[in-house]
Amino acid sequence: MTLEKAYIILGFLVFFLGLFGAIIRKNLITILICTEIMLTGANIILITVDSILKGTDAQIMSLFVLTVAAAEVAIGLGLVMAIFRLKGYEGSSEITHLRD
Amino acid sequence: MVFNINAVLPELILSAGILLIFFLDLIKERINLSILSLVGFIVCILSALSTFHVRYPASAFFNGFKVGSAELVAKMLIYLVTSLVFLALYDFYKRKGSEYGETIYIILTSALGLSFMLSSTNLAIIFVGLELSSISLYIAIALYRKEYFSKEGAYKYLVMGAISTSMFAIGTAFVYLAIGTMNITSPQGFNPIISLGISFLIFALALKISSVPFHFWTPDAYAGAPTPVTAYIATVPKIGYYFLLAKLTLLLFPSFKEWYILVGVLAVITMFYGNITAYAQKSVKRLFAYSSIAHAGYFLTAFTSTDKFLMTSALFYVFVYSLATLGVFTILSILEKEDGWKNNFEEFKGLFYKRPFLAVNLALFLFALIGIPPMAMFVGKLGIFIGLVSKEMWILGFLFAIASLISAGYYLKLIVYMFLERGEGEIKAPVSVGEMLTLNTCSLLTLIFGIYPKPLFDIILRSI
Repeated sequence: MTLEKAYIILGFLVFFLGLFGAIIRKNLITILICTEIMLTGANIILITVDSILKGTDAQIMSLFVLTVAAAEVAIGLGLVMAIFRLKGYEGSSEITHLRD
Repeated sequence: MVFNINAVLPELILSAGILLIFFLDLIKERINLSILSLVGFIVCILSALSTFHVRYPASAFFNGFKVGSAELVAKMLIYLVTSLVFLALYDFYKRKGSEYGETIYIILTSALGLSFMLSSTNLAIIFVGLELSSISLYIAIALYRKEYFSKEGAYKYLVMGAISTSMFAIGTAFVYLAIGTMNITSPQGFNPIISLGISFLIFALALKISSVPFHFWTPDAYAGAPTPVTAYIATVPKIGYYFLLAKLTLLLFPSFKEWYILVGVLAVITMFYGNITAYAQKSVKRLFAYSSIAHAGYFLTAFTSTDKFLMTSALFYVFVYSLATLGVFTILSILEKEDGWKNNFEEFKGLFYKRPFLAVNLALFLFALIGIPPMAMFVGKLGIFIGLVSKEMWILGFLFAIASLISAGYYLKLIVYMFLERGEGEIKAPVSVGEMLTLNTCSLLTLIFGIYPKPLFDIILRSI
């Protein structure tokens, strides 16, 4: 049980690392990678839960999470490309036009 | 388990329609956007009609997909509002020179994701449906030719949405750890782990419905998106999310005893933050984004209890609210067809003398959003208030009434600009047939459900 606890703590650490990175990093692509890190943390927790319960449901769910993460980052990269092509921006401090 | 084709009938029609539009889009030289959106409209209406032919309760896909009365009602409402969105959509894109056929089937995909999300009690499948609808929304917001703001709004929505995705996954993991199965049922006895899981699920859904600590994407995504898509993201996903929230509140949340405190606090800060910040806005589109944040707070107050009357009032309110919001954003998209229209308050000066039809309709929707009696929103507000008082949640009911009172100010400000002030120049933006139909349907239904709310109210009350 202690090893599983350690893995759940690891999952939370990875999740909050990604969250923290998404908040403080400036580069648009880095922010996308940070969201991926958050999803990886969620995956670690899911798989650990399965190893506690000796089940398979959460492992299948983690495959779903991986797929969703891939789709999300594909769209995100497309958006970063479009932003860069239209305005030449690549930092989050520059995409602040939608304000009053 | 035999494959039950009858249970997935609406989704099958919707999927076939998506493929049909996909192929029609490939031969686009001869087919234009208005025909595609007409096909989308017909597909939505057919799916809505097919919900009458589904025998319930039924299940398919090895019990991963379940159909009950609440799911069918929710799906029907979703398809009806989506069909109205399609009618109001094509002329805007044509005038803006951004005729992407993808817009139509991506919006349909989002509706498909919502209906899959609603008709499952398995958290993994709910997750996939939720993400199918959200990812389609990111694309729909960004599909706007040579418009930088739509990309910026979509990017911000995507990053916030990814946070919600991971929170939902973590919440699922802990609920699974506590219950031992992915299906949402109440566990035997109390397990402290489930409170962690339920808190994460509530935070993830609060982000999707733009409740306050997680609302940052809302004004940007609403203001950046092409206005017909704003009309979609402000209405249809909300219906889906609140029906999902109702299901989770009935089946899962009570196993975390203090869940109502969490939801209540979120609701109160959302109401007050949304309503007070709305006063500071200069753009009308952002004003309605903050109004939708405030409404998220009103709706959340109803999910602090497992009382069915309270929940029915909230769901009824969500539906009529989405009709009124659809009308508002349709008017904004008509006005935006004018060259150089920025949606500022100044431009609405004297709208009544320039375009009386649009101004009167907009005023009707604004009065509906305030909650003036002949309109349907009054019934929803009254229902939530009566429900809260009868469950003896005096503080929440009192704060709800105060917040609705505060909200009247900024809606009335727009009405004063339109009717009492005189503006320069004139507005030539034409109204297409589809937009006219959507506007008239929305305003008529807002009035009809206000005068005679009983049938719809009873249908929702009996279904959940």
